[in-house]
Amino acid sequence: MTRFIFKRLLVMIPTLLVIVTLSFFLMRAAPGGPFDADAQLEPEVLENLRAAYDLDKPVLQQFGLFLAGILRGDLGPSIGYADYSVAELIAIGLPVSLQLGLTALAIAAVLGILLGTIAALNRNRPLDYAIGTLAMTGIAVPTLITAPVLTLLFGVMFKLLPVGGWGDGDWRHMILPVTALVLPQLAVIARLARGSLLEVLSQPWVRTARASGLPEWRVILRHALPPALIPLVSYLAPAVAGIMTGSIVIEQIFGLPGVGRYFVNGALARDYPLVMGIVIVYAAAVLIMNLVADLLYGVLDPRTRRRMTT
Amino acid sequence: MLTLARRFFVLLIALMPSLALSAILVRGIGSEPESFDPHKAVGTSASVVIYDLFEGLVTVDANGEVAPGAAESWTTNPDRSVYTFKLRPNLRWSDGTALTSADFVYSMRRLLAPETAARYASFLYVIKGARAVNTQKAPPETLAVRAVDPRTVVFELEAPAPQFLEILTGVAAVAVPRHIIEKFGREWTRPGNIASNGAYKLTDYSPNTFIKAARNDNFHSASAVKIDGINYVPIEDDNASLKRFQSGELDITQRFPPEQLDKLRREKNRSLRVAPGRGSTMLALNTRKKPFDDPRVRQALALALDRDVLTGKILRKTAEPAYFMVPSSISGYDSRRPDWAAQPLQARQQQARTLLAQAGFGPGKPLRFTMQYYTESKTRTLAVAMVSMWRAVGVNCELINKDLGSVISSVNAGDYQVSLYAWYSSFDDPYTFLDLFTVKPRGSITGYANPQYDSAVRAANRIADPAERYQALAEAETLLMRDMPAIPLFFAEGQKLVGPRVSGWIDNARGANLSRYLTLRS
Repeated sequence: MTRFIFKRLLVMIPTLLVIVTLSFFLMRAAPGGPFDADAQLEPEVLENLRAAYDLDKPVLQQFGLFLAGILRGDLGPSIGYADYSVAELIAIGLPVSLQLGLTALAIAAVLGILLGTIAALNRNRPLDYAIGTLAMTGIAVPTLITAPVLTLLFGVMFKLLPVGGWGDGDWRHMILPVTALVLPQLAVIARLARGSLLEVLSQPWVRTARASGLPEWRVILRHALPPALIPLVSYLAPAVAGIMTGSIVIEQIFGLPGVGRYFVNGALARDYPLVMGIVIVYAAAVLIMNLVADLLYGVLDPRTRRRMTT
Repeated sequence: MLTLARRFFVLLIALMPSLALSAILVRGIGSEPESFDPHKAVGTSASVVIYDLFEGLVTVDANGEVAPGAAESWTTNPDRSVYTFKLRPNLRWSDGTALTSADFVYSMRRLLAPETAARYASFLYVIKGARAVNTQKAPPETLAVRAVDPRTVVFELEAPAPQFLEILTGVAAVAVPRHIIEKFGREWTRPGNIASNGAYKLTDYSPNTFIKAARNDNFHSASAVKIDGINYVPIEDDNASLKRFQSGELDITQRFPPEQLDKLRREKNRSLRVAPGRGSTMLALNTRKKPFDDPRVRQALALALDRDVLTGKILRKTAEPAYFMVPSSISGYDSRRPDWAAQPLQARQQQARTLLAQAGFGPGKPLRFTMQYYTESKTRTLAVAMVSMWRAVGVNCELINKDLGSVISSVNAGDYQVSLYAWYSSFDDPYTFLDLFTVKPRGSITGYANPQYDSAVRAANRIADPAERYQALAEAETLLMRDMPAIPLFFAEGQKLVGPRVSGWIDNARGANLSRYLTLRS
């Protein structure tokens, strides 16, 4: 098991390196530069600015400096937030994104499994169709639409909740963005849970459990649900990474100070160090969450555990 | 023992006076400020905050006009090339440290030191020795800014400059605290570290969330500052900004979706405030290459545009039609209106066809080119409208949409045919609008190179008498408009939403409304 984790972690290094290298050169290949939005800078001034961020050096040398910085644990200064280093900005933004994403995912998982179970138990009955329709709507309508509609309803029309901002992480500020994030995830999870549970319910061991006279709720909770959740794990773990990156839109719409907002602003302003720093964080998150998914598989499914040790 | 409800009531009563007394103004400021370091910050949102926190020798009053700042008075020599400023007595930083003329000398040297990499450093190139310092050719000590005594600063300039006070209102020309910068380095602007000399001091900051400032009791006019604290809220999204304003969360904002304009105009509480702007929107023409190396083609395109349709129908009267480069809001300066501006469109179209025919274009061989534009409110509709206006005179134009950064970099690189372009100045002075078209070491944005124009602009800029200087600059502008390296389109107005709690707000072309002049109604 330890050897398996160690091996997987080792494989991550070249993967990260490829991602970082590609992003670095793609970013430089994008037209424009960090000081373009200022329109006409005197050439003398531009030269001083480029020197201050090592941009006057050849691109390969810049890449070398960047890699050397990473090895030292230094992601460099941000260009767009001149008073802060990239590491500081990530340290400020990541907790917000995580708080938002994990809350949303937890709610989506609990509600999604509940709805999926209800739907599966009421297969092809009105309740199943109702949940199915709801789920399809959740998947089909993008957060780009739900978020502004939610703010319009609860923020502007009924004035029940703040329409944006973080307000020091106050729960009232979290309700709308979390709801907007939950809806599509909830829909996917409910559909996955329903399908998977239906499959399990037709398995022989469930029939055996029922035949042995166990009450229906015990059959579902003890014997059907745990194996039905395995496909969900393979969805949920990468979803943690996905929901972090997915909150980019939400953070922009609600004006939340998460990493996603730095990512968008950084990319638009060609803030090279900031974008690269966040790419590293996102890439690492995706890789690690995939590893976590594989490990959880082992815990839940004995068959895969055997494969890991060999 | 009090019941819970009664306790709560007592608490409420106890809190009430403090609630009523602490008046906090909430300003929506658009994008997140890049920095609170006046030498590093760029853009309007940062300048809103910095003008509240820091003060230069001169500042602006409630009307946006030049007014005494840290200096109580100043004198200049007859040809306006030496300025002597007398500081107010007993100036202090917000931490109580004395502020003297040496602080201004330090601030100017830091602004121009190449390591600071200040973007606005070039505005101060009028000071003798400034360019040499900024380009590492001379040490900062050679800058001709001297502290004669603790309350007197003398600036020697390269040439007469009647506009020097105007330049000193710039956000980069404020005083910065040497004792704090040398102690904390890059982290000097953090709350807890920072000291400032303006009406407010920074108390709390969380990037992309909030910026909080409180009244600076060490400010020289602290007793005249009515509002106790300011919350600046960075909001980039136009819709979110308007919603938060309408829900009463923001007192002031400069962002809202342009399509809401008509609705906002009709509102009874008149929160929409407009002022003429200091921006000139134009079409840059790449004169380096065919077909725009021919001034007749450039003139023809300018003649064929119906600016009244662009500003009236599309921009819904939020902009003034432009027939020259320098915005009409520059006070005391009069651009010469070309004769064709008054002609009916048919006559102008006819003239455009004639010019195009002379340049070798006509029905058999129509003029074809591409025009790039960036996405901003209504730019797409504007571009499409211009294409159809040109089609009326037999010109085929194809549109290319890019983001703003790409548009600017391709203009700077000379890699375009026609490009939408806008130039803004925070100064009440025409010079930067005209200097845009003089030849720089790397060329000019349009490739336009007319030695006659360059020498006319530069000579005019060195005239000591303000009226004569403006006269000469206007003559140079006429020359520019005859050659037409860029087609003036319109001057957009500045729009802000100001809530019912705020009073003392005076709309001005500079777009500067310092919080110290505002009051909150209860």
